[in-house]
Amino acid sequence: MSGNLFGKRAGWNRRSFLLGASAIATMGAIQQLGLSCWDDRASAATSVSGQIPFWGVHQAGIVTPDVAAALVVALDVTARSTAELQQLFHILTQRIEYLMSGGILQPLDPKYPPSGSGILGNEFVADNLTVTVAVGASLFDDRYGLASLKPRCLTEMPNFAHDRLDPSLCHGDLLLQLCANHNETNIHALRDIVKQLAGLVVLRWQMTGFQQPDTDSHPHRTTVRNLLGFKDGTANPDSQDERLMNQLIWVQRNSNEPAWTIGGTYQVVRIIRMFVEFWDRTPLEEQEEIIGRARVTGAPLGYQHEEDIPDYAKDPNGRKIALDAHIRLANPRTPQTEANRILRKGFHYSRGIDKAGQLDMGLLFMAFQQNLQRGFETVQNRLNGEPLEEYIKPIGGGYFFTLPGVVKKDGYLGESLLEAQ
Amino acid sequence: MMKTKTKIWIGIGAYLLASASPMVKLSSTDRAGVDRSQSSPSLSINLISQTYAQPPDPCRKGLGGEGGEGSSESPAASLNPLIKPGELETAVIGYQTYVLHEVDRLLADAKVFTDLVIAGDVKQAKSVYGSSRLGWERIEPIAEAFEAFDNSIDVRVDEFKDENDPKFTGFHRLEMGLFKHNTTQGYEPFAKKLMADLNALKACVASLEIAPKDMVRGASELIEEVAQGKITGEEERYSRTDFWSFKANVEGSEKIVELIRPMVLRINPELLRQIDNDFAVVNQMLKKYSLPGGKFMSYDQLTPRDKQQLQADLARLAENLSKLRGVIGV
Repeated sequence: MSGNLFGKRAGWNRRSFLLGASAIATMGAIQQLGLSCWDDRASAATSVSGQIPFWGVHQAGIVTPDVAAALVVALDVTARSTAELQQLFHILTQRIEYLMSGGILQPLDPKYPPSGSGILGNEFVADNLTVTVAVGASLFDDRYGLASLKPRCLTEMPNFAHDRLDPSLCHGDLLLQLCANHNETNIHALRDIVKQLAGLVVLRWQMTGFQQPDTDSHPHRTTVRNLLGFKDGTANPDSQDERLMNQLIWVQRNSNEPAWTIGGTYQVVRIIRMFVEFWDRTPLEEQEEIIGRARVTGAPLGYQHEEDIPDYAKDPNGRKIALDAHIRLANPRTPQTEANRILRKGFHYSRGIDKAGQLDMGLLFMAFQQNLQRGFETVQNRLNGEPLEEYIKPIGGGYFFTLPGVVKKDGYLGESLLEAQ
Repeated sequence: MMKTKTKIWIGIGAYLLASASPMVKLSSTDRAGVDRSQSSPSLSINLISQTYAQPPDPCRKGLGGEGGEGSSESPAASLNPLIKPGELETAVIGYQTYVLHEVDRLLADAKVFTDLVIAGDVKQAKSVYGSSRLGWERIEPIAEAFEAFDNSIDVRVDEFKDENDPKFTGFHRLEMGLFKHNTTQGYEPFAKKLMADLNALKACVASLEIAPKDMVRGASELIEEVAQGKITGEEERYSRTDFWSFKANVEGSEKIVELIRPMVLRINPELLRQIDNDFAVVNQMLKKYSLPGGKFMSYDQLTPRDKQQLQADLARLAENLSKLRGVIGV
């Protein structure tokens, strides 16, 4: 992470961009020419049908190219037994696979409630929907006998120094991250899942996010700006680089983690309120100093281009980029801090007006990493006390572990966890 | 009470339409005048009071409630073929008997309660408040269908600008006096009005023909009521007797399932098994908060974990009950 509040958008790197933007119409032709050097998920992610494969070693929605609409929903599990917990994950798997495929609502006798909410019509398209399932530390309490299987770094998200966490926006036994081209698609999926899981879960909190997906093909440039007006997402690790993802994001076989976690990843959610009125009354010069980049171009201060990599060794006293600038603390660009990089996703949120009469908006931030301490916690601890804190306030979120994907057709999400007992 | 606010506004809307449309021509020339008169606050208040203080037809049903949409249609056409002739009708008669019985009980219990209020016995009145409304809660979908009474008997303070609004009447007005202000002083007129409204309600219920569809729908409606309103603790906010009305809603729903049980058992035994199980689970939780003599603990005793569990159990029950109309074919 070399960048701003969150880094380069997952997935919209050169490879998937070229495929998506210039070759959608000719994809068939490319495949016929035998040029399908991309893996299934990358190519399907930008396919005309907008269908992202559900099956895979990892769940979809993490290295999948970002889309316009997100809905993050935390649930608490009310299943009364391990058997019911298993039933929950079976139903969840079946519904997610169905919803991500698109389809036609099952016709029923009109004396019954309809088989779906119908908000997308009777026939609905996949719309690049992904539903990604993660578990929170509380699922590993004494209810289901999972205590010994808890991922090693998974705890309840602590209060960092500057956090003012609202309990009604924090934690949860389960986390669903729904991403699609449209909000309606996410809501359609959520309503289906909530109906099907009646009795097994209760809703805990939810947050809706939006963004205009990156349209710059360069891996270290972006068109995305955060609500502070700065380019955001310049240097996320390349999510289509499988080797890098195995190094930074996915839990590997040789880790100290319980075996069931292989192929999963730690997911951090942070709901970060931005005080935009105050920010908008701050001189540009000061804004840029706090972030460490020029607002218009996104270039690191003292550099020409957004993609330029700041050389902090040549600026030991912070003459160009302040020592406590956000980008410098977040990613000091040393060999030692390379391993702290995390894969970030960011969406804006906007939810009305606070008690002070100010705009209540900010960043719905998510980070994925192989090791929570080496990743997010290290980065966050470096950022503690940064000048940007005056303008932002983390108010919610949680620590979760994203389950490994489902490979077998008769398999289910959470299988490795539940069958490990 | 369910969706009261919506009902009131639908009620006002319907009243305005019904009363105004025959004589008012909404031409562009006189529209402004019409709008001005109809949107003036004082007139709206008058209309509200008219809709339930002096209703044109005291037994008129609200648009959103039971029987609002073609309840007189013949159910025979779509009825599940496994239902024997006369079987559903027998169930409806059984339900009508139950409803009348509960109304009688409501009148008797409410009489005890309102007499204590009139006598100025705060302590005793408080102690019988919870049990005085059980009859109402058991037959809520039927009772609140008469919007005039729903708005006068079971309305909540949220419907009014302030708690002293004279149109804030009924059980919850008395509940507020007793539990919030610890008094009966000045509440005698409200106690008398409540009894008058309940007596008038009885007359309406007695002449009511319940359609099979409305009976079956009532089983779900009672649980939706609990899942949406009761669980939040907003209904009995002063007395914290929420568990009482909660339990009465559940009993009312169980009664309907009991009446259609033989039919459901024949058509979808697995669904019936699930519904029985769901009711058992909900009742088990209620039992945990019950006290000897049919009393309940204060609703603030409900732990967050149990509340979540109840939410989940009610959602599952509501999902299963929502299939009953399909099973019967009404």
